[in-house]
Amino acid sequence: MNPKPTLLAHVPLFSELAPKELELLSHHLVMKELLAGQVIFRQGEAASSCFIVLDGEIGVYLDDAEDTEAVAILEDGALVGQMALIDGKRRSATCRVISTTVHVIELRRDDFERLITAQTPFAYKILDKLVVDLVKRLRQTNERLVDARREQNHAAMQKKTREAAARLVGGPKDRTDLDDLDPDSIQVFIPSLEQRMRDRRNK
Amino acid sequence: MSNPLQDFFGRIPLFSGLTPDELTELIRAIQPTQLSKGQFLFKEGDPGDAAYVVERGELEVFLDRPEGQIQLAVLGANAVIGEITLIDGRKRTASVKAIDDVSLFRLDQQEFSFLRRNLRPAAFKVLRGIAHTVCDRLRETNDLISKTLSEEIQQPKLREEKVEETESEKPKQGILDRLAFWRTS
Repeated sequence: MNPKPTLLAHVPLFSELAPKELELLSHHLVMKELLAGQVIFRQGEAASSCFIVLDGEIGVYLDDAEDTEAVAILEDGALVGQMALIDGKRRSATCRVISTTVHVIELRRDDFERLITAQTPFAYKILDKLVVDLVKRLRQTNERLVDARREQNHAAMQKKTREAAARLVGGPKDRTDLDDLDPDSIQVFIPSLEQRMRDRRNK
Repeated sequence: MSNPLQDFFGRIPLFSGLTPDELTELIRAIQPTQLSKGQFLFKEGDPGDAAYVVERGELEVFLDRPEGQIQLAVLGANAVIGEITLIDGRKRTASVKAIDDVSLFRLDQQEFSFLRRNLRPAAFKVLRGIAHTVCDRLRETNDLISKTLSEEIQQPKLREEKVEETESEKPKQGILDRLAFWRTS
């Protein structure tokens, strides 16, 4: 089913389009309803469409385990899988419906290619918005990488602190006893080590 | 009739899809510029107001940190610098300095935005090229995040590790963070 042009007017990706352009565009789009838990696409799959969220929530996952945390949650107006429109490479993440239902608009890659080749003004407007969105996404993703690295550093640091503290205090060599040592409680007894920990965390 | 400027830009992937007329229009938004050895192109934190294409010479990309200078890359002829700032005009995330005498071309962000707003085909095609670059980098970064997350889940090794090992491990991971950041500029 094609979405109504009036509905499209509210989609950020199409916000620069005139009413007549929205009318033309609507013939290239399909509206779909998806249910809770439904996988829209999986990491590694061939990509042929981009989706725009009309309502509901979609989770983005970087590996396929059911219980891992989503790296992002996409809501109204968000683009899902838009890299397919640019380079058509395989999906870089898994996307799954997390709310009860989700309504999306699907734009197929081959349709978009045809519009671009014809250099139609409204295709240009869509591409412009698309690139702006991708750049925002890149900045956000970079910050997520930095956070992930910091978490990893911190976890590694905590482990080493426990081990170093145990050696200094002359404690048990047994690994299970080390796990009970709280790195934060060590500060009280070993100021120099605590200072180094604080320096690293404050970088 | 050969036009050396057209020949040069035609060889750069980002501009290779443009027709001669489209290139001519784009070249109007481009200024040649020179740097002598040691001169800065821009510093980390400077406004992102232009993209550059290197014609001749080499530049280094680096970060200045309390622990010292961290070199991220060396760029030479045909390299494009800061094309993503054409889209979002963000502050520079690294410093760039000439290692020897450099000649380059400067594409002003405002001039490019003018072409974009007027739906010029030249800008359209460059936009597509930038989109490709951004997608490649998004994929790389997602890949790095995946790798980082899977390292966390791994069981810790059951052998004694010296605290000193963390000192040598940390700079490498720090560089990855910063490299990821720089590659958005």
